[in-house]
Amino acid sequence: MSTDAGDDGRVHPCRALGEYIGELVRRLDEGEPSGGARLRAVAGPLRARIQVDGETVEIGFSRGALRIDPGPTRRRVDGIGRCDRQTVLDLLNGYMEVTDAILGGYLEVTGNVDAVTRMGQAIEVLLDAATRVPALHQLADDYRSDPCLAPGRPGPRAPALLPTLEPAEHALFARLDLLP
Amino acid sequence: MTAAAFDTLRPPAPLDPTRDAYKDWLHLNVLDPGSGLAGLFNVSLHGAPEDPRSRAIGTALLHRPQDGWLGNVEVCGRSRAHVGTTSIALERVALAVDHRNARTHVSARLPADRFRAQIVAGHAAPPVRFDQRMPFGQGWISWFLISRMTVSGSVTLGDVSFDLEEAVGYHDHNWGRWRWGDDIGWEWGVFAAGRGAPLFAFSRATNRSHGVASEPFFLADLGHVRRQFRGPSVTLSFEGTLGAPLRRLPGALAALHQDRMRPALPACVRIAVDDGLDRAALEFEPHAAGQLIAGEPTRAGYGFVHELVGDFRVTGRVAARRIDSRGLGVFEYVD
Repeated sequence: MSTDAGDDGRVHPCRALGEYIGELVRRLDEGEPSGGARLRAVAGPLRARIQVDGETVEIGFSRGALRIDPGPTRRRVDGIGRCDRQTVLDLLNGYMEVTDAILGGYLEVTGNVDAVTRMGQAIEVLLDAATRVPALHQLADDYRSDPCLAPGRPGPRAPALLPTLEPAEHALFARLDLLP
Repeated sequence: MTAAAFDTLRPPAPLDPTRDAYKDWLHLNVLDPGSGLAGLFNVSLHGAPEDPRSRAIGTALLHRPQDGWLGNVEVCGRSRAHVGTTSIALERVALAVDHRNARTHVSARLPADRFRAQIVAGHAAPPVRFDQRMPFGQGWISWFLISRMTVSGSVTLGDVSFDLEEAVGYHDHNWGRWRWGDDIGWEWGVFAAGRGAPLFAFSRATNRSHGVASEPFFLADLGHVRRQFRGPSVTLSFEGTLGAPLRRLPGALAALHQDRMRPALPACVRIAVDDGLDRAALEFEPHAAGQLIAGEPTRAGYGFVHELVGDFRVTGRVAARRIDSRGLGVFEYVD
């Protein structure tokens, strides 16, 4: 981990994906222990593979402790989440909705229904706790200004996948009120 | 005309048992009907000052008809904000009210959004005060407003600057005790016909469903004369559902509240006032909307502040003067 001063004058460190995930959970445990307990309850014994740009890690809780392994490994994972840094920044900066990210093909979440639901719930626990844990907001600022990662491109980007949806898929999304 | 006034942030006393519900909020809105630019700048404090969970939020948004919403929202721990007597400065968004010199200053620098703003607004009207504690959910709210301000400065997006010299400014300050997520809401609006032209403001507190409302307030500021309308002399009605896409901020909280992607916002707002002497009818048609999501810092709870920008027309007779004005307005619908 190295550091650099960002536009806000604060020093922002360089972190790898696994370090960001480790910091998320550590700061949640520290700032709102009940949130950390909820996160563990939601995750249960499941293992997930997270890929952002070229970095991949596999994560899960073992006896309450977060385990982060460089990936991909040959071990079975229950769910996979994949996106790029720009998508994370667009979501954080309010330039993209989650629904648009999924429909646009910028965010892929795969796994059985239970695993995908739990991954979503785990993210909800983190986002909800971030309202009450300033250290999580600082981590988001660090991610935006990480000197070792590509700077984000401001502004919205148009959904890419939507025009290629099959008519039946389009009808399904429309019925479920999932179209942007 | 400048107007000296006195107003400060209202932090809670050390032994105030309701200090965890403390809120304090400074706003500057700038409206330029000629270009259609509408700027929303505010800084706010949420939670007891010494509580490490307390937040400061800075908003710097400009709506431009050609581009939509520009700017963003900054959220940080309160301890990282510099809080003065009449100022709140976050790292990227700051607002200071200088009552001695009758000026309000805004500075915003959001490099990730290529957004910069530097604005000075001169107070050009005496304030309207609502110092009494008006019931608001389980708490209360008070406010202070300066309805008319001259504006100088600009907003810069990348290499392009938008001059605000022709804009009209409006300042208000809200403070009180409430918790986001409680049974609270409000409707508020400011409507400017242009520099030197009439300006109108409206406000009332509501419950979350907007089925129960406090006594409404409407201000007609014609420059040389102002008239206030309250209570049954003011009626408000909504029509239709706005279809414009929302810019929702902060993004992380928008991701958490996917169910609030398409709130039922009005496509038309009508305000009518008639106190027997004066009367006016205002019709506001929004063409854009933003959703600012505020989280309660000490427990789970969220408020949704919808900012609607659009055109208005008002007709009537106020202070023995016939009015027929058009311009640009912002209407806030909170639940």
